[in-house]
Amino acid sequence: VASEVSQETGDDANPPLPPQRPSVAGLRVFAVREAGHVVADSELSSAVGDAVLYAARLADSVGYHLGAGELQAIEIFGRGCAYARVTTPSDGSLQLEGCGVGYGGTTEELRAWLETGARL
Amino acid sequence: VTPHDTLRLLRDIPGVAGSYLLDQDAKVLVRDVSADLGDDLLATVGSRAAAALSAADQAMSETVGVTMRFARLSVYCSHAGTNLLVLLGAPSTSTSAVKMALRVSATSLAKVDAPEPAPQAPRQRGEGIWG
Repeated sequence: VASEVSQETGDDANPPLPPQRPSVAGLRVFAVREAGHVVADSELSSAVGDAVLYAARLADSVGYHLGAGELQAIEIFGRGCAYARVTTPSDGSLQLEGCGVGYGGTTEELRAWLETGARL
Repeated sequence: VTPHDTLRLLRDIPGVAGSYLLDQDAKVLVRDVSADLGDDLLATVGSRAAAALSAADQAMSETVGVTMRFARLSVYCSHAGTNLLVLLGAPSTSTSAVKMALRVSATSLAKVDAPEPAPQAPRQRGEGIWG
């Protein structure tokens, strides 16, 4: 329908709505900086960050063996979910910005929320 | 529906290029990927993907799968009983579509407990009664 405005793209009169912080309870936010240093908003988030960092290192090895290029993101799904975007500085380390929820949610929601510029 | 059929159906998901199933010793049970990818490579990739899945499970209970997005490829891995299902797809492949397909396929693929012989290629026109 022409009169409908996409929440993703919006238009001049109706700018796009920013993604909301996922409504599911217990959002855990973490980041991994230089030398594997995990920054997190709680001890539980830090544990998630550690696990995602380890998974990302294994994923990096998967990409190397497949010649798949740089690892860009890792997503975990199940009862809850987690999403982390990955950057690889020139020193070869992995840096992550991520978040997760223990129950519900989707990785797409988490990615959209991270892309609003959420930072620790 | 054979395990090969199940894997072949996964290619109907936009972006999915192929998939394979490993047992818990990283032995290839069924494969629907390019012949360029040897079983050794699939096992190497699968064992690391399985470890990534275990790591994820430590932090997030009841983990079903892990998606690894690379510049040129996406890799999905998920439990199918004690087996591991790995999908290879384009970077833009939707996780939601894959998650649903994994859920549907996992039950039948969990029952595979020995390597499945590759299906015979369809008979060519030059053979048999057309020859």
